[in-house]
Amino acid sequence: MVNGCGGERIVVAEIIPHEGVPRLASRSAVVELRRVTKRYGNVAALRDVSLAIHEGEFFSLLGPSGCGKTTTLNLIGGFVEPDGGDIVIQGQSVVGIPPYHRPVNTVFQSYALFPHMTVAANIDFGLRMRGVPPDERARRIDEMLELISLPDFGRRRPSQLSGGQQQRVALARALVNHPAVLLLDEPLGALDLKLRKQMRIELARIQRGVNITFVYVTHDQEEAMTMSDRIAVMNQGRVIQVGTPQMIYEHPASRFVAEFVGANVLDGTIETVESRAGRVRLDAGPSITAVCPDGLRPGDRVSVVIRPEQATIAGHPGPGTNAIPGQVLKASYLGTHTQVVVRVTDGTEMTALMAAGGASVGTPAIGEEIHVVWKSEGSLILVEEGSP
Amino acid sequence: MKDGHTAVQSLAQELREGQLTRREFFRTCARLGIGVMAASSVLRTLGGGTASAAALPGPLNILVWDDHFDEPELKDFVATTGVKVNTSLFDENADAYAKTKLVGGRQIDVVSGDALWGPRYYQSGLVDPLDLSQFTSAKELFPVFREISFWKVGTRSIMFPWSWAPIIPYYDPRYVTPFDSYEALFDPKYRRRIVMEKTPVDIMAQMGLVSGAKKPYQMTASEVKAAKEALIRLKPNILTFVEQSNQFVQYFVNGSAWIIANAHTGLDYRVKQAGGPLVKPVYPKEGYVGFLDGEMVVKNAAHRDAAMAWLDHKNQAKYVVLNFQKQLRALANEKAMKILQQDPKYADLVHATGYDQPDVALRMILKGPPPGEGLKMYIDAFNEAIAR
Amino acid sequence: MRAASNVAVHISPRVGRAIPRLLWGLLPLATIDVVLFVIPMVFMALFSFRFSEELLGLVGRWTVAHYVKVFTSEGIYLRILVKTIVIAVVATAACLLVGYPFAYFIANASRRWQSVLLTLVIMPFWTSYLLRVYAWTAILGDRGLINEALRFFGVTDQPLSFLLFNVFSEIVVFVYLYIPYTVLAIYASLEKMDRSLVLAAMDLGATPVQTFLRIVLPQTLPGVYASIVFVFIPILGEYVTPTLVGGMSGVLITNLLVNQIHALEFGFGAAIAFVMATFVLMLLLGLRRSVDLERLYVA
Repeated sequence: MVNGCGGERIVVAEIIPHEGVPRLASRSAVVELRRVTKRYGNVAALRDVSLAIHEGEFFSLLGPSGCGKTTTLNLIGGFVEPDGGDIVIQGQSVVGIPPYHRPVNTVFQSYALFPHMTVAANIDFGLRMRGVPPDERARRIDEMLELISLPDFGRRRPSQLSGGQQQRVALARALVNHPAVLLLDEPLGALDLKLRKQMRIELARIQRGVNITFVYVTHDQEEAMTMSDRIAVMNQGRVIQVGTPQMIYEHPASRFVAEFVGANVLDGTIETVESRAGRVRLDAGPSITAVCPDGLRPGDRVSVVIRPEQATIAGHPGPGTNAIPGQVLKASYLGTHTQVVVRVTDGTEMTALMAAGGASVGTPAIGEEIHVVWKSEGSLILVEEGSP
Repeated sequence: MKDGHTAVQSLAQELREGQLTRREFFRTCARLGIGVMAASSVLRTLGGGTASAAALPGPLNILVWDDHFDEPELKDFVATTGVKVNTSLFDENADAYAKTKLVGGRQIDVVSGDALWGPRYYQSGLVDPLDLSQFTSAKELFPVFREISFWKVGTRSIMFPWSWAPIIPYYDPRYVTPFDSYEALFDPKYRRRIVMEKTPVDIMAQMGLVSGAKKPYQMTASEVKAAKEALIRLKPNILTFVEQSNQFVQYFVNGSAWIIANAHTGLDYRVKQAGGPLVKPVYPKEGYVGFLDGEMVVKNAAHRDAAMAWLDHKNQAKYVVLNFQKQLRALANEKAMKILQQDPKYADLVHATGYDQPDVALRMILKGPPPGEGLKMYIDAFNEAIAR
Repeated sequence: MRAASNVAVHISPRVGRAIPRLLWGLLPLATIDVVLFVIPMVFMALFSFRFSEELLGLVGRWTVAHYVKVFTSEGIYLRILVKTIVIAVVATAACLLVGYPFAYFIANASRRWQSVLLTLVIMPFWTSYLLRVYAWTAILGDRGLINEALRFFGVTDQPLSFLLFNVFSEIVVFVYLYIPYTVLAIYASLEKMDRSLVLAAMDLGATPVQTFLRIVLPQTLPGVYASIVFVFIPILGEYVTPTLVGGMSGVLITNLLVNQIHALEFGFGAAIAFVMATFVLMLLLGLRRSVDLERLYVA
């Protein structure tokens, strides 16, 4: 009964696509991690992690494997207990409370549908365990089957469904309980690419329809970017940056974040700083100009972040643009644009995206000597990790 | 195997040609059954047949009780004759009788049997009577055993006599007051204190003695019924049946049995040897049954010469002495008795077991098969009593 | 073989070649089955319907007298048959009650402990069956381990004689003898089960008890069923244990049957065996229906 509240919020008819409509994110935190630490033997899985996840938002935990994102999910779900710190759900500490008493439901990576039960019985399970009256259970199961677009599948067995259908049933089984938070552990990982892309849209649609807080674990930055309201990028048991996809993408807080979201990173040393523009002597040779944060002085070691769509290639760079020479390694025509991978003089590989029908004509040949060029405004100086 | 094989072929052929009458079909089936049941001993025969160039055609197949031979004489026999001996053991007369009937002389050369089973074997055409005067070791027998009337067929004897013993109760005087009648066994104070060997026919015969049957192995239907009632009455006092009489010793030694109701003589010494109490024999006034056994040579024995040589060999006094020292019960060999009487260690035992009083053997009520439907009646009654 | 190739013509050349090959592959198995199982069964079935004056005679007349006798004979055979089934049910249930938690414990232990524990489970098989049954007379007997211990600690001065030679000791030994089969069968099905189902159930609000009853138990029912078959059926045919530790009250159907066989009443013995087999078959079919394996394994 803990999370049996809020049933009235789901009305299928109200589910309309919200794509592109800015959302009024409620500021109240539904889940809070306060300085949480978790160790497995000598290995620290989480180090002093604090997070606030807001009511109704689609929140992603993004990071490479072993970064602590699944541990974070398991801590919220109650499958593991923290070694230090506090976890608060809806204002109450849940440390020491078993999973079955938490107002939280999970969609497992393997779906974990009960093979001996029908789809309807699977969805019914949580309601039954929480003593919801039979009439209401039947109604909510029907609503859910409608929501996941499988209205006539109630009597089937999980083994009779496709992967995508099983995934949706797993979602319905969790959502039907109206949890305060829905935890999703790489739920699309087992699907093929095409289905995965469809399900991203589907998941985002459903989340907006039910207005339940989603905490979504993934290692796929594109997935996180397309679905999330906010993302926490994690690495080595720490949260590196929390923000909207746009903020993360355009203003990565660190070299790790920048690289993880797919930006080019070049190392160098500050030569001069003028207001918001800094001149950087790249280790690869040329000096370039980029947007500079406050507090940097000449001689500081920095990283310069150039997003692929802001870089292009040119045979001979014009004056006033940033440029670095290199050799084309790979060029892939992707329809709307061509992706070019270039190895620059210090061996770093850079990616540039050339819009189709843009300035440069045709696809560059592999091995061709060219320059990667970008505008000063399109690049960002970051203090190199480990530097003050 | 060859016989079995051809039998299968001919059966198949006759079935095809529709020539097989019902009677023939069953006869053939029986032959097949014999083949299957005999398979293991055939394999042993084949294995043993390659042993050495034998003076006599071998190997010798004997179906015997385990107290009818000892290792030294087996070894000596193989050494002197070169004939390998395959021994098969059995518990009950009926069992050996069935096997002999099934496989006959092809698989069995020598079979052991009890007193009145001998005539049954002979009447069924399963054994050849022996001319005891042909055996050197038969001259060592007490004269009475060479002339046992029910074994006589003309001048020949169905069996080569081996051993005998009365089957009587023994009791532990620490717990049991001396008695001279079977009635004492029914005393409620001996509840779960009596142990018996599980020999259904002999137990029924013993119960027949209790209930006043004149001929315990030839009881009428009403006498069997009375014997059954006696067994039902005795049941509360029976702790358990044992499968082998050699297990009796431990029950007296560990004190769980106060009375053994159907042991053969010598038990008192074996219990004492094993560190148990000095138990006492009872020769009940109602009479007692006993066994008098020996070996028979199977009709058409494949290795008849070896069988005769074996009987002559194993009945020599030197081996009989060894057997007495191990089994402590009377035998038919007089010369062995005289040797044992010279030995101060065994002189008393020779008397205690009745070895020096061969006439007692012939005054006992001897074991035998109840005639005709009798066996069936005895077993049914036994089952009905123990299942009650 | 001719039939097989005929079929092949109608299907496809590839399947056509596969069928005879499959049949050849089954030949050794089929031969063993027929020689060791079907033929003896047919013999026993024939024996059970023949009446003969001769010991072991197959020549006689057809009769149902043996079967009539099973159902009459003062009702002892039916009574003991029912008693045997009841004891087998009790022993099987005890095996499940003790074996399931143990299997669960093993399945949840670390890999290293699992192999140690499984070795312990199968260790009794290294010694002779007879010896293991005998060992229990040394444990439960008047001078056995338990009574000596009770005496040593001054709990009793007279040995507890009800420990051995009755139905109690018989069931104890059955449980001891057959529990490895229960543990192994259930362990195997627990191993096969997706562990995330347990997490999912708890996530959906099921307490550990509810999780066990609604998820784990249904998921491992095939293992439970297998262990019932492995335990229940052999106990019905047990002869040695009732003989050695059953005493007078522990007489089971096989003991009566063996007495008849020893008296060469093969026909009657066979009739008892077939009545028993019919009982068991009906029980297992009923069990199978109630378990509904199809449902668990639908593809």
